Amino acid sequence: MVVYTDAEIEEFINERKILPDNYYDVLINQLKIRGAHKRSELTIAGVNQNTYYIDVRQSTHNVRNFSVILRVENRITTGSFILRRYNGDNHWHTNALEGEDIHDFHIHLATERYQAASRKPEGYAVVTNSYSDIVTALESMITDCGFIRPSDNRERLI
Amino acid sequence: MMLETLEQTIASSLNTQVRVIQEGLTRYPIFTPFTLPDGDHFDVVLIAVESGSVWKLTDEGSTLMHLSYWTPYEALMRGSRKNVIDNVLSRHAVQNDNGVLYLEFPPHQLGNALMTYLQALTQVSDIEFLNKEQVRETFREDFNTFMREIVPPERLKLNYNHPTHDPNEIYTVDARINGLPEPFYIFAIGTNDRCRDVTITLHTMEKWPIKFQSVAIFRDQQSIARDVLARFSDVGGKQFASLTSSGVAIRSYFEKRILDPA
Repeated sequence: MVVYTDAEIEEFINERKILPDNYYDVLINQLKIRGAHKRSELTIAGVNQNTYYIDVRQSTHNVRNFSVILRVENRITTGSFILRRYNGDNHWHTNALEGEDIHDFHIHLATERYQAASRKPEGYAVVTNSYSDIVTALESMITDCGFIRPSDNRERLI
Repeated sequence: MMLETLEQTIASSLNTQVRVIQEGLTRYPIFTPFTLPDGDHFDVVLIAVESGSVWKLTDEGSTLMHLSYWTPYEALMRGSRKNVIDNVLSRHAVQNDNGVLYLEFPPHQLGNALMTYLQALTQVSDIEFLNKEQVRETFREDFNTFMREIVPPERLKLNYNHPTHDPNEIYTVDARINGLPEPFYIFAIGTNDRCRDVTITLHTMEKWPIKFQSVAIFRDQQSIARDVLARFSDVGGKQFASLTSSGVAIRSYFEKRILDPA
């Protein structure tokens, strides 16, 4: 079942999302331990009234095992829909439909074709060299996905 | 193709898909073709313990962390989901040390141990495909646990009936949060029948001289029939589409209002 088309996914990614002043504190400095991993969450409103969530997960055993996740509250089915995941390089990834293997840092992208194939929407991933740890992965996602940093927003208002 | 050739082809294919690297003296990450539902491969690390007399396969906590991308970690660690995971681990002699899944074995059993371990991880990752009946069973226990997590015990009453207006306990509220000018009456709705009951309950309560804020938390709002949901929406207040996937939003909604009722 296709929940969102590629065009709709692109709209979500590009929708402007204003980060609160304390986003870095909440997401990175206030990671809480659950079992064998650390986690944090932040809810952000988009300017088109969509609700987004950033989730951060990092293994307590291996700092290169992490995921910075962007979700949107789902208007069509229940719950939320994962748009992007910025993953560490501790594990391999295989793009099942293309038969491609990835052995590096990679970004999971929600796609229409993986939904149509009844796979995880974000089952497709691309290699990246835009980050090398959890902090730069978060910054990379902020740059890629329509987020407006608090400082950018203040400059805009002056 | 001859049987022997088939066997060699399969064995050779499997061989090329397994890679082992060494990190330090006793740590060996193993890369295998086995994947989670999103195409990420299972994290498996072989570690020599007790001077190499015992070996250990461990996921260093990554399997349950990975599953928490789709199902809240707390939901994996309680109720029916926890039971399913515990049963899988027990069948394969895999231990769960605070989220780290590991298997210890003598070195000469490495091949069998790796297959057993991967089978266990694969079955644990299938928790996401719990059938609807099993998920329905977990809904009420998940709801009660969730409410206990986010509301201080002195302000929470589960299965509440109004002492004056409902002495026969017909119109049950699944959770009541007190200490507010208008208490929250929260309803856990998992089925069409429950949705109809809650609709009737709210219509009845509207006639009582009491003030309250109603909140509905659905197991899966999309599974409720359109006409049933429409009738409910005429009388229901705030709605959350799914306890599992809207957990962050629900927590944020209540925490803000409980701490700052104004």
